[in-house]
Amino acid sequence: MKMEELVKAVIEGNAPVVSRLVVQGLDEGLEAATILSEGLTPGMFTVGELFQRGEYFLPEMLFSAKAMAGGLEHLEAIFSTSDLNSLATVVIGTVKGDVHDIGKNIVGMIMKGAGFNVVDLGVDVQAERFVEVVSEKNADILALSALLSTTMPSMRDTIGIVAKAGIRDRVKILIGGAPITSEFADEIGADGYAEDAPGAVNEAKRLLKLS
Amino acid sequence: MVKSEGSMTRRERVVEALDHKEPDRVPLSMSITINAYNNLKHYLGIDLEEDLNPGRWTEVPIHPLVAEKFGLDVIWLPTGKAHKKPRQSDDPNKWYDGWGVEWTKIPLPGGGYYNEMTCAPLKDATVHDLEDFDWPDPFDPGITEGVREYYKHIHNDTEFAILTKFGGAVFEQAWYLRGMETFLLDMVESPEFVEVLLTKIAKIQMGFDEVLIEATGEYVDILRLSGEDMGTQENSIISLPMFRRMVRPHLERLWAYAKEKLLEKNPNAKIMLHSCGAVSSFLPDWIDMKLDVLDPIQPKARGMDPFELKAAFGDKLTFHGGIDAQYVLPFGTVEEVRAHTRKYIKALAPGGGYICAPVHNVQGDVPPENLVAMRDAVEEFGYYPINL
Repeated sequence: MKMEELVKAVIEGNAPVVSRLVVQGLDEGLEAATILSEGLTPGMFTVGELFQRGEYFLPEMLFSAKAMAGGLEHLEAIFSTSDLNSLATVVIGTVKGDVHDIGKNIVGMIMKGAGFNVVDLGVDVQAERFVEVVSEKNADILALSALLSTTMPSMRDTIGIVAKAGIRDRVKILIGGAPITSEFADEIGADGYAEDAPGAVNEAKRLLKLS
Repeated sequence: MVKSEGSMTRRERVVEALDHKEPDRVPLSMSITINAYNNLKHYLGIDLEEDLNPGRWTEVPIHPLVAEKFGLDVIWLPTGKAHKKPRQSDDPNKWYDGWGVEWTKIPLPGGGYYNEMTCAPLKDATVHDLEDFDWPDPFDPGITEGVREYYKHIHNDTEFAILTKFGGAVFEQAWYLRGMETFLLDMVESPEFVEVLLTKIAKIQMGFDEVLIEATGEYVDILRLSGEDMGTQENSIISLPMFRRMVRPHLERLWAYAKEKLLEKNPNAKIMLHSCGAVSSFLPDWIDMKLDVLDPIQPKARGMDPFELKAAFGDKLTFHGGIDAQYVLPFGTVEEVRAHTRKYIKALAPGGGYICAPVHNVQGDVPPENLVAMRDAVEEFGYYPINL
């Protein structure tokens, strides 16, 4: 299996080819972690760049993410505990009162593609639930999403409850969503903000000091 | 000629602005959700009992007395409801619209609620399923019942310009029915499914336009074609080539039909597109498709600078909106609202072609003081000639 072919298939969103090449790579004895870091991740990284440059739009990015996710399923089935432990863990969800999930879903997909272990708690998530899962998974990043101005206060509340639970210094908090700004992130004491999904990956890497 | 203050009715003011002429002052328009509406009425000291029936987006029609007291020039009027009852839910917090989309009342952190789509009925549908789907019937007699009389009353007995929506979105309705992620993937994976779905929807929306324009057209000043959101905060949702290939033909037929039929009834009427987000790259196409009015000019979206838009498209498009709902209205101070409204009047009002309005149905987190500050800024800065 040629890694550049896998990268190309992810960029093109060619799900059957991605799936076939991942299986082929595993059959040839490649490590799951290698296929992720040298095949799927660079592919999705390029997709993110194309999106940020305005050459890809949401449909094309979703198409590539779906192809990537198909490949990743083969890998996840055989990831060992040590493989998983080597990945940074992101707990993600939309905050209490907010049920809009496409932005959150795309961030989750792109983060998976970038090699994060993503735990998606879905929509309208209570702050206490975020606290519970961040603790349980020993998460590195808590990523909060809100689309509405009316649900932005839930982000502030969530951060307050994370702090109250005594785990604020153990997790970096990243926020995003249409009305969110870096000023708002600063104001409510979040660690980071990104305006789109590829930006969220970069911001998460910056916060965790990953290359 | 610039007319002196007080010499125009509210409707004349709007018609002049739509005609790219300078009226006495910039007209004001607004749509609002139930929580914000009740707050505003309370703030204005209006003690008016109303049986409020919020629409899908939790929006309510503004009573003419409230519109008059607040100072709106445009009034948004509703249409009738189908006699055929939509599917019922056992859950009192859930309901279905005429398209079979499930909605849920979601409590908001600050109190009140917002209606949200929670289930897309065509999520797993095939092309074949589209034939058998229980589509809404635009020819249901309930759709036009009492509508003509009400529009005529508002037209004859008040000064307001009338803004309304009949057949709505095509592209956006498709993702309500299919789920947004599924539909956007369809656009790459299953273009034939998209074609059939958009054709179905556009035909139904054209039916709504047909019966409602027939019933009310001579009273309508602005026909809003949609909520047809095509922008995200940063860019268009789909590329321009994809829009041209897959969406434009449907919208072009629908808009041309609505406009032609409306102009037969009222030669001064205009068609308006509501499309949120960063949509500037689509504007030349929409102008080519004979669009008259663009709403909402979302300030925080990329590439939507009002000075640049006015310079590039101001001779072709009237702009409706501009007053930011992502920061200024809900979180800004009264002074920030004033400065923001001034900026949009300065950018968009010269030469006419601007109707000032919040960019979205005003939400419950917007203080009434900020709405009044917007209104006051229009009074303070909006009289022609604009010298800001």
